[in-house]
This record gives sequence, structure tokens and C-alpha cells, in this order.
Amino acid sequence: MNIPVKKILIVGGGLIGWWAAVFLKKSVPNIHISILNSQVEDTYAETLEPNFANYLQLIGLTEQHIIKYTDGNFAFAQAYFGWLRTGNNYFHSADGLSFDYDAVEFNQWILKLRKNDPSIKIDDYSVSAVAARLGKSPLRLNKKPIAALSFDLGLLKKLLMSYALDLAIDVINKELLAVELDSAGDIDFIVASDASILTSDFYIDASGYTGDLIAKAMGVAYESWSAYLPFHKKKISVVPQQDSRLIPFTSLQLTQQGWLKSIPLKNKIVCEYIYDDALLGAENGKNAIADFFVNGQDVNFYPGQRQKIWHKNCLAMGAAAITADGFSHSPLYLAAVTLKQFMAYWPSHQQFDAVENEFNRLMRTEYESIRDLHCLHYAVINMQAFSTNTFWREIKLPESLQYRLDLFMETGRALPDESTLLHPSQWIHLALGLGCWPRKYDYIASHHSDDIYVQYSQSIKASIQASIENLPDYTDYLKSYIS
Amino acid sequence: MLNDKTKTITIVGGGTAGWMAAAALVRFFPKEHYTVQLVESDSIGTVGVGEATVPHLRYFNNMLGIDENEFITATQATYKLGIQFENWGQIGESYIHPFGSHGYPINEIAFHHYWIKLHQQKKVVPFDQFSMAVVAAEYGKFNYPSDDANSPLSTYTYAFHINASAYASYLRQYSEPKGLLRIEGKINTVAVNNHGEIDHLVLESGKAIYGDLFIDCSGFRGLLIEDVLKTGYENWSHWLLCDRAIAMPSEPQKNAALFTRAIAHDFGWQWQIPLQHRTGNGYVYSSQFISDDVAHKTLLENLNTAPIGEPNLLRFTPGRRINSWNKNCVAIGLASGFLEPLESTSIYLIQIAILKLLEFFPEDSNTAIKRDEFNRQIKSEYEKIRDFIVLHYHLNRRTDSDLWKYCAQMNLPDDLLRKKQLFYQSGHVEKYRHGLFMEPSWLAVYLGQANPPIHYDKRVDIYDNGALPAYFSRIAQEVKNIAEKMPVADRNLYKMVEQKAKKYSTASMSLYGGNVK
Ligand SMILES: Cc1cc2nc3c(=O)[nH]c(=O)nc-3n(C[C@H](O)[C@H](O)[C@H](O)COP(=O)(O)OP(=O)(O)OC[C@H]3O[C@@H](n4cnc5c(N)ncnc54)[C@H](O)[C@@H]3O)c2cc1C
Repeated sequence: MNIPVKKILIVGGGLIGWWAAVFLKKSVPNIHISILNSQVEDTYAETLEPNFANYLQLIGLTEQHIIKYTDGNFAFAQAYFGWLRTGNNYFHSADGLSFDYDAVEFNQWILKLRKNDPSIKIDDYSVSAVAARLGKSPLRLNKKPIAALSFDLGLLKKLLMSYALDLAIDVINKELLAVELDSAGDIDFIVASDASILTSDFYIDASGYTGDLIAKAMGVAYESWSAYLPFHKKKISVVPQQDSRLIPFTSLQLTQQGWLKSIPLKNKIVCEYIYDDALLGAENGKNAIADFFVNGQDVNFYPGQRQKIWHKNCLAMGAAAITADGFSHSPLYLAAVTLKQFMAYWPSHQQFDAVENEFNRLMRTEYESIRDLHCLHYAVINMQAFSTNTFWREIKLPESLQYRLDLFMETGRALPDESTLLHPSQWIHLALGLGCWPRKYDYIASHHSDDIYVQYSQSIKASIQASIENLPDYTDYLKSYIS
Repeated sequence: MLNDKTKTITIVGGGTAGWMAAAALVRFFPKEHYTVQLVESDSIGTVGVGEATVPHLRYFNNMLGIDENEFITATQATYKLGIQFENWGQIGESYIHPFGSHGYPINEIAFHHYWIKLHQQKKVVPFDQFSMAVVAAEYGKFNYPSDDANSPLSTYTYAFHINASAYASYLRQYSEPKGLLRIEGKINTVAVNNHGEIDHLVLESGKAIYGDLFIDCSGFRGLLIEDVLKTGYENWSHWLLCDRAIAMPSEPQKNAALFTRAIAHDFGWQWQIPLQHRTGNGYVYSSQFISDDVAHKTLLENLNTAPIGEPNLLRFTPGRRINSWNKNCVAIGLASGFLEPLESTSIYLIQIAILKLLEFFPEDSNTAIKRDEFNRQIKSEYEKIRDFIVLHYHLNRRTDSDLWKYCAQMNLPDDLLRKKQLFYQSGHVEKYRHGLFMEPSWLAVYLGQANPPIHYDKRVDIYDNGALPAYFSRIAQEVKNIAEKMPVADRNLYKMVEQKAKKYSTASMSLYGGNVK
């Protein structure tokens, strides 16, 4: 490998390849960046975590650009339909729920309160969740928006590509033909479809699940998560947004055969139906799908992670590195986090195995904690035991999630882990919201009587109600926001 | 556990650990539901040399609602901004490991990468000169840190040197009016029920003491956790060779230093801890290499004020109880393990165990997962601190004794070896979120003991337009200017303590104050 790195070649012309190209060029301007703009299968829409604005900023984009140019839309919550035995839905939001009472944490006193009042719903305590339900905007025009952002993938890619033109990024419009390794196992050069040879100091594999460099050429294995995340088929379809009112939340609808995710954008709604083949064998399954997708597109996906995402002079990103089911932490978000982290561990000298190992160790911690969060979505279905379908029951839990859940059920606490992408409170709220109520609360919560908590709870709800009334209608808000 | 309304928590031992546990329990467990009792024996002394602490103790006191100045008066405490390590890298070298960070990130790249580059070019002052806490400590100046994240005064925090026995007495006075039941007497035998759990204790007087939960704070021996429950001990003496200490107080210093001193000698190291009314001293050494007499002599020769008490010899085995929580017994303090006081961590480990116990308190018989998680977290705390202490010994270039030669060449714990290689290859400090010592501490030792990495983050070169040396001397100068303006520590201590309107800086569970998480 050539040190210092002066040239980076990105293989794969999907959204993630283009993100990498722009991000790298912006971060280390004196490095030569080229991208082999080969065909990569992208999906249609994604929703980015609220703090993605920080990443956008690094490449000179803002939320406003996303909203304006990528058919973008804010999501103040993720709504879960059919996920709860009670028949209730749950609006999961990133904000709020931080109402501790005299050193008793929110999730502890709410547990105590719920013992006598099973009707308690935790999303009643989040301004964003309540606003999303009512089609209102918890954002104010004069403030920087902090909310998840949905966007059209193709449009964002176009935006990045046009951006790249001004950035002196070398775009190679060819396909990949072959990869040659040197005797040390590093990538020596790649051969493009016209037999031209491309060399670089460092390579980024953004070729998708097949991992044309990291896997096919370098032989780094893929760890499948299919025992825990068993789905591997989606049908995607895009329907026009017909209502004049915009929808400020994404939603997940559980069905007998899988689940349907809807990402509302400004002008269209992107629907992904994640389903199981075998289950669809049953006639009613086919009908269920047919209703949604007349001209849907079939996509296969393979949940899992690359054993090492950085191997010698190659970094894998996107589906070449990790794929999960899409409950949270979208592919672009994870890729952006991965690349930013990689920048901090930049290969700056010949001997860097310890650095490579450390980076891989950190990313594995992050990825596995996100995997566990995904698996939690299936675990709660079984814990509530309301699905008659044996399929759900056969889904295994990773040991680490089993431990997290056991601890949670006994203490109401999230395992303090090393992940930086997932705040423990997020974990707790999702678990509670999806009907996973711990058996016990902290002894400290029993210092006060239920009456006191009831009063406190009412005062929170009242103040949320009061602030909701003053919030603007979301559709109006967005119009003013982009004008 | 008993099913009736009130539960009994029985603490065995009235050393620092026992009384800290007692105070926290009576603070948070309502009298109507819990009886908290503590058994201690006047005939068995406490170790009570714990004198140097870390900033977390302020958080503990806050939690109990203890006023800081009252605490300072009661424990004859002085302020502490860090530890000065002398002769560790090489005889004659010295650095301070501060309760604070060094410099600040530039262009999102950690400060030390720039420093390493300049250091390679011999164009920069020592690393610790970029720490507010270090420079203030060297000037003998002190001020409360600021809560304003933009202020340079937010880059550090502080702890205390205390008289640990006085602290224990203070906590006794705190606890008894809140309902703590103190029982004096020597425990003779311990009765076990048919689940193998502790059932009751029998005192010399014949009196039986029951409990639902027993907290073993009986010191090194582990009266319940080991003698009765045979939990087992992991011995770390192949990494930490010192197994004895001689402690001896001496006259107070004229101007109490704002740091603990840890002075390496041929076969161990000496602590020097300034209190208001005396100086705490001790020599921690390895009995493999020298006799107690020689150790005693070495200590006497190296006191810098006149001795005012008898030497106190302590023997210990570095290591950790394999499970701090076993059955219905939770060991806290020396009963749960021992790491030498090089980084003043024992009282911190007591505090952590208490906080975790509050978090995972066993309300009913279904405790397996709580116990496992408690044990997992305590193990991780001990191991991470162990690695950090071992690092001090390992990174030496001394050739004057077999102890130092052994340490420089010993096989390291796997985790530590990985951390060290990462730093050596790249200047990166391994990241973790849970643990006492974070990046600033690792850097203080790596760089303080003159083990710079071979490489720094190469992105630094992008931003280096030749102006770095000047920029860095400006930063160092600024740190000096601010430190110089602080009040003198000694006078300041008394002034602050006498103040009526008391406003302290925020206490947190961080070694570095507001800026470093
Ligand atoms: C050399 C040395 C230096 C140290 N320096 C520091 C430092 O600078 N900073 C720091 O944080 N920590 C330091 N420590 C550690 C600190 O001293 C201990 O962590 C602290 O004192 C806690 O001790 P303990 O309460 O667990 O045990 P002990 O102090 O040993 O107390 C044991 C208690 O158990 C009781 N007991 C025992 N057996 C019986 C029985 N059969 N019947 C009834 N009662 C019984 C005793 O009466 C006593 O009250 C140091 C330790 C050593 C050895």
C-alpha cells in the first residue's frame, strides 16, 4: 500500500459511492478522488436520523437543500401500527420523555404508574409524537430544525453528482471487470470494462452486497444475520401523494407475512413491503401484497455484516459492509458514520494493523448494537405472544439482545454498552412503546405515592397539550420553510 | 429474602467502605421499609489509609446532601488537581496526571496529534503544560472550575486529599440520626441456610444478627464473601509486583501541594499526601525484592517533614474477588479486591459498587440477572483500572533494579497490549465509554513517561502551514496567564471554607470536569 494516501478510488456509482466521493473530497481536498460510476442497485427512499444535519454540513448541504431538491420531508416520529397486542399504535420519536421526578427516572415512575393504569401510553409524553399524530410541526421557523429527514434517493444522488462536478472528482463511467491483488494481498489495480487499468493508493468498495473488491477479490467473509433477521425480500412501490396535507411521520405496519414501511415524501409515498417467501405461498398472503403493489419492484437483501469492513487498502461501505431490515439507522446514515469514523483512523503509515483492528472493533460494536435494536422489533412480537404465526416464533434472538432484554425486564434499564449511535433512553422508549413492560421498577420509585405521579403526569400532558395548540400545521410549516 | 414488609440490610465492617455504604443506604432506603445496620469491632482496626481520592467523591457527597466545606473541615481535606509522578519513566523525570484535559481539538483532530508532530521536531513544551490543572497545581494556585463550557476553567475538575478515618466518623454521624443501627462486636461465626446463603452472624457476645442482604465490608479478608462463601480471588501479582506497604504520617507541609506525589524508588514507590494537619506517607513495595526493614528505612530517608506516628505495615494481594456479589452477599471495598493506591482508585471503587448496588438492588428473589450485571460491571471497572496502573510500571526505561526491568519486559494483559500497540502505531487512544480513565489520562501517562507514538494522525500535515509552533506556545502561555491569576491555594482553601454563601462547581462522575465525556 502507498503511504501517504494521495489517491482514492471509489467503486460503485450508487448513492453511497457518491456520498463517499463528495465527503472525501470535501474533507481532504488535496487528495485525488475518483469514482467508478458502475451500476449499483439503490432503493428509493430513506429516512435519516435527526443528527444527520451535522454530516450534511460537512459537505456543505443543509436540511433545506434536502427538503427542496430531493422531495424531502421531515419525520417527527416513526409510527408502529399493528405491533401491539392492545391494538394501539405507537409513535416513536427521538425527543422528550425526559421527565424525571425527584431523581426518579421517567421510565421508572411510569412503570409504577402503569401497574395500576394499563392504559398508559408513553408517546403521550413526547411533543414530537403528539404533533406528528395531529399533523402539526413541533419545529419553529426561526429555529434550526432537529428532526429526521426523508428523501428521494435518486434525487439526492443527482444532487451529489452535480455537486461533484464542481469538486474536481474524477468520474469514470465504466463497469468493473476485474480486480488484481499484489503479493501482500492489497489491491494492486482494477480493470474497467474497456480493459483500462485503474490504480489507486486506497479503494472504497461501494459496490453493494456482492462486495466486488472486499469479498470477491479479497475474500473477506460476510456474517449473515438471517437467524435473527430472517427476511430477505422486499417489494417496493411508489405511489403519488394525493392528499394535499403532508404526512410528518414514517410508518411501519405489521402484517401476518411481514411488514410494510411507508416513507412519505413531499410528492409521493415510497412503500416497502418486507415479506417472507414461504409465508406468501399461502394465497391470502399474495392478496395482501397485491393490494399494495401492482407494479412493485422486487428487491433481495441479506441482513448481516462484513467480518472486517476495513481490510488492507480497502474500506467497504453500504451493503458491502452492513445490511439490516430498515427499522432505523438507514444505509446512508451508517455509511456516513462509518466514513467519518474512518477519517479519524486515516491510514498514515505502512504498519497499521492495530489501527485497522481498532476501527473494525469500533464499527462492529456499533453495527451489532443496531442489529440488536432491529431484532428487538421481532422479539416484542413474540413477547406479547399475539401472533398466531409460528414463523415469528422461530426467529432467534442474538445472545446480546437476550441479555439486554432480561436485564430490561428485571430493572427497566438499558444495558450500558459501547455504542455511540444509540442512546440508552432511545432503546428504553422503543421497548416500552412496543409493549415490552418490565416486571419491576426501581425501589426508588416507590418513595412517592401514585397520586404524586398521577399529578405530575397530568401536568406534563397538560403542558404538552398547551404547546401543541400553538404549533403550526405541518403542511403550512413546510411551505414556509422552503419558500 | 424475607417476605415481610421491612427488610434488613446488614453491613459487616466499619471502615471507609462500610460507612460509605451505610450512608448511601440510609439516604435512599426509607426507614419504614428497611432496617440498615452495621456491625464493626473496636478490636479489629480499619485500614483507613485511603487519603487520596478522585473527583467522583464530590458527586457521592452531593448525592448524600453533604456540604462540601463542612466535609473539608471534618476530614481536614485539601484540594487535589492531580498526581505528580516522579522517576517513573526514568530517574529524574516527572509529570502530572491531571483531573483535566490537555488543549482542545483543532479541525476535529485531537490536540495530541499536533503536539506529537511538534514534539518530533523538538518545537514544543511538555504535554502537561497544556493542562490548566497541571499548570495551576505547579503554581500552587486553585480556583473552582467553571460550568461554562467555553471557559478555559471548564477543562479541569478537582478532588481532595482526606483523612479517611475522619471521613468514616463523619459518615457515622450522618447515618445514625437517619436511622442506621450500629452494632459493636466481633463476629465469631457465620451461619448459612440450606440454600448456602448467609443466614445470620453470631457475635462474640453470642448475639445473633440477621439480615436479608449482607454487605461484606470486612476488609482484605472477606469474612463473608470468602471465608464463608468461598467465592475465589483472581490474583494479579504477576502484573503488579508490589504486595506490601509501610504507612507513616509526618508533620504537615508549609504549603500543601495541590497534588498527590507518587515517587518511584528502586523496588516500589512512595506516596506523599498533604492534609491540613499532617502529611500522609507510605512506601508501596515488593517483598520479593526487599525486606520490610529496608522499606521502612527507605521511607524514613525520603520523608520531607518529621514523622509524627508509628509505621503501619500492610500486606495485600493485588487482584479481584471473582464475583463481588455472591448469593445474598455483596462485597464492597477491600473485601472485593485490591489495587495499589497509585491512582487513588480504591475509594472510587467503593463508590461505584455502592452506586451499582443501588441501581441493581435485589427487591425479591429474582436477582440472577441483576447480580450478573453488577458483577460484569464491577469486573470491567477493576480490569480497566488495573490495566492503567500496570501501564505506569510497564512504560519505564529504568535499568537500576530488577523490579523495573521485569516490568518493562513483562507480558501485558491482552487488552492493554492492544491499547499500547494502537497508540504506538498511530497515536490513537483506544476508545471506551464506560470506565474511569479516558483519553486524557492515557495520554498523560504515555507522553509523561516519554513513550510517544511513532506516528501521529497525518491529517495534521494538511493543516500545518508552519505556524503551529508559535500557535502552541501561545496556547501554553495563555494557560500560564490564567493559572497565574488564580488565588494561592492555601489561603484560598481557608477563604473558601470560611465563606458563608457557598457555591461549588458542579460535581459529576467524570475525572476531567465538564468538557470530556
Ligand atoms: C497502603 C494502602 C494505601 C491506600 N491508599 C489509598 C488512597 O490513597 N486512596 C484510596 O482511595 N484508597 C486507598 N487505599 C484503600 C483504602 O484504604 C480502602 O479502600 C478503604 O480503607 C476501605 O477499606 P475497607 O472499609 O474495605 O476495609 P477496612 O478498613 O479494613 O475495614 C474493615 C472493617 O471490618 C471490620 N471487621 C473485620 N472483621 C470483623 C469481625 N470479625 N467482626 C466485626 N467486624 C469486623 C473491622 O472492624 C473494620 O471496621 C489504600 C489502601 C492501602 C492498603
